Amino acid sequence: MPENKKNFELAKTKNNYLEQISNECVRCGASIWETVEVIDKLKLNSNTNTLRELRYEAIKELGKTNAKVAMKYHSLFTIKVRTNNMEIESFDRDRIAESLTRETGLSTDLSNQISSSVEEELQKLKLDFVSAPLIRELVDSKLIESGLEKARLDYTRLGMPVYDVNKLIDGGSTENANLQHNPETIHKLIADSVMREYTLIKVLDRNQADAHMNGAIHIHDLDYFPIRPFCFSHDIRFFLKNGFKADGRGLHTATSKPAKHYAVAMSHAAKVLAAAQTNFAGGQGFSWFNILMSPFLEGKSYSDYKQAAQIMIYEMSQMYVARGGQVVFSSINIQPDVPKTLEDIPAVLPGGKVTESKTYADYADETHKLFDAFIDVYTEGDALEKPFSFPKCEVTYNPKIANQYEDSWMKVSELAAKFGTPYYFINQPYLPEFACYQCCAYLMPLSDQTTESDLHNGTVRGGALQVVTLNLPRIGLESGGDDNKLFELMRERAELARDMLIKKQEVIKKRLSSGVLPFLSQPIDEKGTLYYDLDEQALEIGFIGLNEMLLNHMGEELHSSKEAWDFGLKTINTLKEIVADIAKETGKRFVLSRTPAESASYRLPKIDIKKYPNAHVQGNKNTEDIYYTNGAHVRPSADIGLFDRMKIESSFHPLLSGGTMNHMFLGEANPSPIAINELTKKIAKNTLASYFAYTKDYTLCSDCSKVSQTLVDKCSHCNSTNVEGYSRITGYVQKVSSWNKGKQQELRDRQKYSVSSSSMIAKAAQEQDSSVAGAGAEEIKQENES
Amino acid sequence: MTEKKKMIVFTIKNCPNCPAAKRVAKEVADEREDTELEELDLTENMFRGLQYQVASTPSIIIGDKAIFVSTVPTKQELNDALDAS
Repeated sequence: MPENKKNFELAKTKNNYLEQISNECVRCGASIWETVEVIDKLKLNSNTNTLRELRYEAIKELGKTNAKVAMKYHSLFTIKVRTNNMEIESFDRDRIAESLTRETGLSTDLSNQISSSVEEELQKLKLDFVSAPLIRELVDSKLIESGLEKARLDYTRLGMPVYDVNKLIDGGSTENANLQHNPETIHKLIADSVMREYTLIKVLDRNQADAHMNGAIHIHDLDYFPIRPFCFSHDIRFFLKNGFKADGRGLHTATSKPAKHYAVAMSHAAKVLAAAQTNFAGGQGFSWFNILMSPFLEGKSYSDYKQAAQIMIYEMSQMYVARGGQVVFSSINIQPDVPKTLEDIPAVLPGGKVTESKTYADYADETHKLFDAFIDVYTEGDALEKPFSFPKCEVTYNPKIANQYEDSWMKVSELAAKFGTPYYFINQPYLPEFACYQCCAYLMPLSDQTTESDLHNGTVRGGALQVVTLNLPRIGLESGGDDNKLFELMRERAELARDMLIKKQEVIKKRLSSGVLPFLSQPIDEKGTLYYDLDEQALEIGFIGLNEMLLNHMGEELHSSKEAWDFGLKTINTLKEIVADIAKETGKRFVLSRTPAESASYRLPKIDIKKYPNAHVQGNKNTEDIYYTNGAHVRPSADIGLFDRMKIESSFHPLLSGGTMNHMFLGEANPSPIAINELTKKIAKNTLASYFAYTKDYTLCSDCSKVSQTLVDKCSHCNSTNVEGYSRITGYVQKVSSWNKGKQQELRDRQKYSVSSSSMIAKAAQEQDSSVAGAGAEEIKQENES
Repeated sequence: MTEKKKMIVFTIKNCPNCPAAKRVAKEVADEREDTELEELDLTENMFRGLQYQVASTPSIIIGDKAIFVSTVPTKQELNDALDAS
C-alpha cells in the first residue's frame, strides 16, 4: 500500500476511534464542552492509534477537569482482563481482532466485526474483570452465530471443566489400570484430556473423529496420537556397541561409553527402555535379550547371573517415572536356546568389541544359564515375595527342541503355576523363522522388517506405529443379517482405519523432522540415518467382539456351532484379505491383529446399546457393567472345556499377522507345575496358538504386604480385609480396583479352569513327550466341575 | 460293519514334502482296510484346516486330531498312530 494511502487509512481509523470515544465521554456524563476539549487534545497531541491507548489518554485528560466522570469512564470502558500471562490488563477490542486474524485467517473487517460484538456483549455484562478464557468463549459463540465454524475450531480453547479436574485430583481415573493415583498421573491425565481434544478437532479429519466418537472405530491412545508412536522392540546390541545417550543426543544428559561389566550393561538396557518410553505411547521391549547379553556373563558364577537378572527386573519394576508416574511398560524376550538365525552372528562383547571369531553359538551355555537366572528371579518374587509385573517375561518356546531344555521349561512352569508371570511365544511352523511378541500382544515378524545386515549390525528393531480397532459387533448390527453387506461394511471401516493410520504416519513424520522425538531421531551413522525408521513401522488394524458380531449377525456364538466357528474364520479371513489389499494399494505395512482393547471393550458396547438397545453385549445392561469379548476369543463366561476353547481361539492365530493372545484363567490356588508343563507341550504341539499366558489371580494385603493365592476378601496370613486383588486385565497384570467397570464384570464372568487333576499328571508321566499328539482335552476340567 | 477310521492329508501345490506325505498316507490307507483317506488342498480348505489346528503342510489328521504337522511320517509311525486312534 502506498505510504500516503496508508496514512490516510490510519487517520480514518483514528477518527473513527475518536468519534467512539467522544460518544463514550458523553455517556459517562461529560459535558459537550469537556468532550470537545478532550477530543481536540487527542487529535493534536496523541501519537497513538489504538483504541485502548486513546481511551487511556482521554481518561487522563478528563481527569484534569472532571475526576468523577473520568473514574466512571475508566470503570465502564476499560474492563480488566485476567490474561493467560497471569497479568491484569485493560480490555482492548483490537487485541481480539488481531488474534482472530492471526489464529484463524479471518479478514480484518470480519475480525473487527466479531470483536465489536464481543465488546458490546461484555459491556452488557457490566463486569469489572473478565478472564481471557471467558473472552474466548464469547468470541467462539459469536463465531458460531456468524456461521464461522471452522474459525471457531481454530480459535477455541482446549481444557477441562473444573468439576472434572476436582474429580481427577480426588479420585484418579480407571481408564488405564496401569495408572496409580498420584501427582504425576493427575498431571498426565489433565494433559491427556487436552491432547485428546486437540487430536479430535485439529489432527483428525472430521469423519475420522466422528467415527471414533460414534464408536464405529476405536483409536487407541488418542491422547498420544499427534506426538508419540505406539510400541517398539529394541536391539540391545546397538547400545552395547555405541554406548548410551538418554536424550538421544547427549546434550541434556550424560553420555556413556559401551558397557564393560554386566551390571552396567543391564543398567544401560533398563535406561534404554525408560528413555525410549519418553518418546513412545506403548510398550518397550528387547528381543533375544538373554542371548545378546550372554557374552557379559562369560566365566561368571551363577550368583552373578542372578544379580544381572535382578538388576534388569528390579530396575524395570521400580523406575516409577514413565508417562506420568508409571513404570515403563516393558518386556524382555528370552529363550533357553540360541536360534539358528543368530548362531553365526559375531557377538557384541564387553566394551562394544566385535570379532568375527566369537559368535553367539559360542555363548549357548551362558544363554541357557541367563535364561534360568531370569526365571529364578521372577519365581522368587520381590523382597515381599510379590510377583513382578514388568518387564513382561516373554518366553520363546520352540517345540522342536524344547525337550533339550526340559529342566528350564519345568522352571518356567513352576513360575506360571506360582504367579502366572510368563507369556509363551510358540515358534509355530506357520510363523516366520524369527519373530517376537511384545507390548500387549504385538507380533513382530522380524523377518519382514529386517535385512541380513540388520542381523549382523545389531539393528533388528521395530514395532507398531499406531493401533485402531474396528467395532465388529456394530457392523453385525448394521448388516441386517446380509453377508455381503457385512463384508462391504467391513471394507468401508477398514478403509477409514487406513486413512487414520496414514494420518498418524504423516504427523509423526513431522514430529521426527522437527526434533520432538529426540530419542527416535538420534542419528545412527554419518549419513544422519534416524534410529527410528518410520516407513518400516506396522500400521495395525485390529478388531473387537467377533463373538458379539456373530450373535448380532446370525444369532450364534463362536463356540455354539461349527457353522458359527466357520463363519467367524471366514469373517476374519475376509478382513485379512481387505487389509492385504490396503497394504498392496498403499505400499505400506498394514497388518491385522487382535488388539488388547482394554478401554475399547467397555466404551464401544456402551455406545452401541444407546443406539441399538437390542445389541448383544456381555455383562449386565441395566448396570452398564458391560463389555465386548476381545478379538476372536470365545466369550469369557462360556461353559466350554479349556482345550476346546484353546482350539477355537488358536485357529485364528495364523490369520493374524499382527499378533494375538489366548488367556487361560486358572482357578486353583496351587496348580501343579507338572500339569502346566504338560499342558504347555500339548498346546504347542496340538494347537495353532502362537501366544498365550496362564493367568493366576492373587490378593495383596495392604497391611502385611503378603500375597494370598486367588482373589479373596481376607488376607490368608493376617486376616486383614484391607486387601487388593490382582489379575491379568489384558496383556498385563494390574490391581482389579483400578479396572473399568466392563473389565471388572469380565473378571467376574471368566470361566476358570483347573489343570491339576490327578489323571492329567498321571497321563503326563506316561506320555512323556510322545511324538504322537492327541490326549489333552478330556483331562482339562472346568473349575466348576472339578 | 465298523466305521472306518478317517485320515486326512493336507497339502498345497509346490510344497516340497507334500508328495512324500501323500504317498505314505496312500500306501498305508491302501494296505489297511480300516482306514479311509481324504486328500485336501489346504489353500482351498483353509477353514477346515484351521479347525483341525493345521496351518502348514504336509499335515495328517487322524479322527479329528492333527497328529503329524509339517512333517512326513514313516509308514510305521503312521500305522502306529492309526492303531492308537
